[in-house]
Amino acid sequence: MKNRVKELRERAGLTQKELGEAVKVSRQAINAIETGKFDPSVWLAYDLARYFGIRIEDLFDFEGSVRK
Amino acid sequence: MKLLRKPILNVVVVFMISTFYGLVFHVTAMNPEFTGMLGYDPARGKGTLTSPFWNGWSVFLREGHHRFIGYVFLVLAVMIAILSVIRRREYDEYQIGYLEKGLIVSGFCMLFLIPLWFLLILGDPCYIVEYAMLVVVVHWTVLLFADLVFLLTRG
Repeated sequence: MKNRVKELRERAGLTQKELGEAVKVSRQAINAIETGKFDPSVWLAYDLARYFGIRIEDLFDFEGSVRK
Repeated sequence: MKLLRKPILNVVVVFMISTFYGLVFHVTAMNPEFTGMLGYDPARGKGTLTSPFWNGWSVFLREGHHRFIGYVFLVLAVMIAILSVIRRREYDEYQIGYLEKGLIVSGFCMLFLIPLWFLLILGDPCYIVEYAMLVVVVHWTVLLFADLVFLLTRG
């Protein structure tokens, strides 16, 4: 799913590992989300959105992505 | 699938199966009943295949060298257990997703392997012990090394 995780992470000056530690997932999981290879669960999406202080739908582009 | 999150499950399964194979390989090494089931006997020059690979593998088993493979399985299982304890972290949903995909693929492989095995036994039961031992060795070696590489490389 298209998302703004990479953009917001880089804006915050974080590495994938640091963001992963903040939301309790591996660096690989963050990398897979950023590259659109992996759609996170609702809870992980919520944790990421809350971490960046925005709503889930502002972090993940539901409209521009294909429903699986 | 919450249980899959626990690294201890990986350790228990790997240890149980590695110990089973290690024991079987140790007990069958040089065992006359086991060697009697093998398809090739170099002393008599007996064997239905002319394949140097299968006859060589049969001789390897007859001489009991497969027990060392069993010992390697046990050493790898101990290494996996130590690494799992040192890096004691639950797997995340991304890793669990891959694990689930792997289990589905291996389940499908098993579905096809059983009829193939059945056909093989009906078609030519000679060397069936050699085939079985090779499948076990290749399957478990690949699994143990994949597990080890995952534990060594995951961030």
